[in-house]
Amino acid sequence: MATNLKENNGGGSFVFKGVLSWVSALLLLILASALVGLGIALLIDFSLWRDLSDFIIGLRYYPHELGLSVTMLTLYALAVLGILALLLFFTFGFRKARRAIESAVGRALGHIWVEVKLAALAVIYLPLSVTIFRSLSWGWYEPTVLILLLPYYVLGVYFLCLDIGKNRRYFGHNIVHSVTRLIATCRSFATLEEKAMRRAIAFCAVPLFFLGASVALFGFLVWPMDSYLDSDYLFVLLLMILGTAATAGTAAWYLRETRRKERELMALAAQINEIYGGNLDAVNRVPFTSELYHSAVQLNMIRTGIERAVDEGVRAERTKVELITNVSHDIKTPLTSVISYTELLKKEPGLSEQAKDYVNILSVKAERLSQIVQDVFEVSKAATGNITLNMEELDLGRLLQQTFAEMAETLEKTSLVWRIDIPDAPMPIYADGQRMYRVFQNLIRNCAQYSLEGSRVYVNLKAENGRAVATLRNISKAELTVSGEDLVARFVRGDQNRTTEGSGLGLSIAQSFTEACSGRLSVSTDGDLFTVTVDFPLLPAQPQPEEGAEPQ
Amino acid sequence: MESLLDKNILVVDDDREIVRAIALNLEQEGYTVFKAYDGLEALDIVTTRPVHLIIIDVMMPKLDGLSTILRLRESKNLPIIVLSAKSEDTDKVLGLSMGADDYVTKPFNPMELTARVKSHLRRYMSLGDIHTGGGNVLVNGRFTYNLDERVLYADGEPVKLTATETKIMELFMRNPGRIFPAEEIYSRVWNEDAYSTENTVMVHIRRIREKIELNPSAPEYLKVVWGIGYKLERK
Repeated sequence: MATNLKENNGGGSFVFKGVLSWVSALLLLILASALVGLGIALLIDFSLWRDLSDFIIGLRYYPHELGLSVTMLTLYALAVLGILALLLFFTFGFRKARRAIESAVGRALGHIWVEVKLAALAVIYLPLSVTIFRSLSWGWYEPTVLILLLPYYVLGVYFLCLDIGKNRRYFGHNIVHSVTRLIATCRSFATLEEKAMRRAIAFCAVPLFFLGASVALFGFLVWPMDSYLDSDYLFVLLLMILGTAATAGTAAWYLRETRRKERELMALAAQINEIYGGNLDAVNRVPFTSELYHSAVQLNMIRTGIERAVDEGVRAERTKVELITNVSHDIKTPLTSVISYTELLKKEPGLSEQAKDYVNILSVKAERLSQIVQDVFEVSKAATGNITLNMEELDLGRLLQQTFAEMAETLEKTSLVWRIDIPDAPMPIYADGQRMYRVFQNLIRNCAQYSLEGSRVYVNLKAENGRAVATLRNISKAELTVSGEDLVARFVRGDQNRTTEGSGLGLSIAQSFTEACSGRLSVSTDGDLFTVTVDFPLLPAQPQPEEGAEPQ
Repeated sequence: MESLLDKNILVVDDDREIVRAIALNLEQEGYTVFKAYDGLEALDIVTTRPVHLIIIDVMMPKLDGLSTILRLRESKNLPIIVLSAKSEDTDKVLGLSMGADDYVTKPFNPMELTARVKSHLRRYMSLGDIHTGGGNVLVNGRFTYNLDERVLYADGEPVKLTATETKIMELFMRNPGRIFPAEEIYSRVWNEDAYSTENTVMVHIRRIREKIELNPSAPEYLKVVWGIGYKLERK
């Protein structure tokens, strides 16, 4: 409706028109219902006809007796007609504005509790019903009342219709519901201590109230009869007062104790919360005298244990990384010699053909070993979360195209048919470009290495549910006897004989790097169909930055 | 080339076999090689003999490689190539900030090491009088681009590039460090509207890399910025 208000020229005048039109409509409604009331009165009581005709005749022939001149009468009649015409004009002229106001009123009515509305309706209906009942049963009636009450009745029905029409939850908004909701809100905001105290106070207050009330009642009932007052009554009264005092005292003590315990409990909870939040140096605030002191001490002991475990974990992690670094260093150094001397051997003159062949094999294998060592190193680091990432916004589609272009030579050597479907629209993601290149390089290499000769490899990229999803599908050369998850595991390969090239780390590296960049990589197999899916949350497409003036 | 032959290179590593292998490779290229097996020995040789370039390992007994470089740098301004089994970027940055000129990770390809030695020696020896043909030149690291001749020089030697490759390199040399998307390279070099150009541009980039990079499979200058474009590293 707000839009309706705005779209008509000037909100203020529109509202004014609406109110004017609505009030006019109400007035017309009241007039009409009053006329109907008059009609009913005329139907019920025929003697009214005579009064009415006397009145009209009186108007016609003896206007001066009523203190009216004919001209005045005509003027009054004209004025009444004019007002009627004006009301009609307002009512139907500004229909649109009136509907807006009616909706607003309807919605406003929705905020009133249904009980209040029902009570209001009862107030309007009851006198009317009683009057009608009286008129019918005793033959006694009051036409004026009927004429006045009918508009009330009609107005009540009008507002009821307006309310029910605009508010779907007509009976939903009631006092009981509101009170329960208020209590629920209060409850959810209260702390543990406040809640416990509230319960305790309620628990003490109820018996105290009844005790006190009965003492007072008893006292007031007995007091005036002081003439009959004897020691028995006094004794009972005294006993009751004492009992009340004792109960009050116990309640006070109970409340104080509860409060103290709650405070200690809160301190303990705060301590737990702090430790949970990662602060292992949280201070013990539970006093020595408390029954909870032991628990607090035990919590401290658990904390110390955790501290030790964390320390050990960190140390173990560091050792692991150091071990990896050292081992890879220890392998790399002799490997350097192997590669260097193989290279020297290659240049040696006078080698037999066979010896040259052997040297070449050595050279190739040494290179592969070097690659595997590097792979092991990287996957271990990625698995222990020890890689530094260079995250930036990049286009996954472009990255895939670049990867394919970079690997064009490798792909041309294979007998595979590559069906690559990468849309031109940018797929912005947030990742480490170099690492994601390694991911796709490994995946494409895998396809090239393990696909059935002459088969097709399907690569596609699309946006799905706010994620950029890249899939690579190929037909495996060897029968796939391991599941997708196992294939991602380190050193596992599709062919159990391990006759093909490769370290078996490709998929594992791809997964580690993808996950390090907060993407997802999943592998599934269906018969010999092997599918790898890499997906990243899509960044909101940003307007292409203006090509800045480049430095010349 | 004559000036390159009588150069003395100091190789320092605690692994004797590696020192010997490097020495053999370099001697085959015509260099004189001095050998040292720890940092102190290296410092000793540098003070007593004329050394033109040093290849030094990081992890060594007595005095480690980085400390040796720090001490060397107090008096000597000669090219130093660091050898290390650590391949982390942070190690690389550390080595270079200590005063090394280059960083080669083990296991390395002997051919690549030789190429690096040549590159550094050529630049060090002919510092200032590298042949560039004079006139309008753009310089970035190992490379000089002569705008008048339209020729790219790597370590003072002209590189044989095709017309398209030259145009691409001119674009990069004019804007070192700036990342160019494939479409932009295409439209500026080929002067045509770009459409699915990633492959075409990449083929040329790869060819240029073969010609100008010391190790084309791990380029130092002409880099792919994955998912964004291509750039020439500013050095």
